[in-house]
Amino acid sequence: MSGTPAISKPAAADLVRLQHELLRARIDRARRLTEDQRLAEAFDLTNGTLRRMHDGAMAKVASGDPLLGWEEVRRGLFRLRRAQSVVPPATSQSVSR
Amino acid sequence: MNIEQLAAAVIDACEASGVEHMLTGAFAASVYGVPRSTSDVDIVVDAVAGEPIQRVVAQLAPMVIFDPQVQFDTLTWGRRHVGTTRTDPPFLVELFALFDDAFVQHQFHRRRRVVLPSLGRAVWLPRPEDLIVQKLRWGRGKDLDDARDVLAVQGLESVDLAGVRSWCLLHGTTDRLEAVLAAIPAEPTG
Repeated sequence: MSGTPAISKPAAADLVRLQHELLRARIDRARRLTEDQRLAEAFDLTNGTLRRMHDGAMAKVASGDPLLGWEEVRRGLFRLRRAQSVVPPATSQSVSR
Repeated sequence: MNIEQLAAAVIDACEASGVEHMLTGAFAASVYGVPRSTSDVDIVVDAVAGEPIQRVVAQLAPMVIFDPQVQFDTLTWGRRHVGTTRTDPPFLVELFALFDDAFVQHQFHRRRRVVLPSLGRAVWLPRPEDLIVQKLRWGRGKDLDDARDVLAVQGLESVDLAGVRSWCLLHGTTDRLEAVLAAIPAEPTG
């Protein structure tokens, strides 16, 4: 027998519960922060993510030249932006347009 | 350059150019919702085309290279001037030209000014309800997550949900609103 075993319904329910708990924890934490603290955290996340992308790119290009790493990051960001631009159609009827 | 230096420079360029503006996108979503990373600074500018926006582009020229081709975006229905930082990391700057759309005008004209010490300056931001409506209208996966997070963090008791619903009805995005409301995990009881 081969292939991926189907996830049982209890396991799927556990997964959904876990996702809800994680999201609830993120929401509750954000509610305890001020507007400025949330913005500062977004800055830290952004700067940190770009640094980690560069670390990964340097490993991928197997070079000591940081510029080659940034070129790889640029390509990765381009692919990511293209993928994120996909929009599902709105499903309800608009009363305008 | 880090992202907060770039965001501050974009705001300063608008102010120095005398162009009315409003920070939007991931940073506005993070102010009101769950902080998240991004790779671009998005700002709405009150300039249909031509000279005012060119003044902002000129102010930013030492640090940002703008694409000479203005993009007309079917998602936002507006003109976008897109630039990339000259230095690494490769951040994007997107200048969205304010245009003649009832919601876009409504959102811009009731924006609020907030002092944000992490940026070292006062910043114009959309109201949270308007950011939710905008995100539901754009409708990409990350936009719907942002809309859900802003609703959840601001709290349904604090948000003008009736106002959000009326814009969603106009935009045909009521199903998206209901889906993000249903996706907010319930608060633990007891």
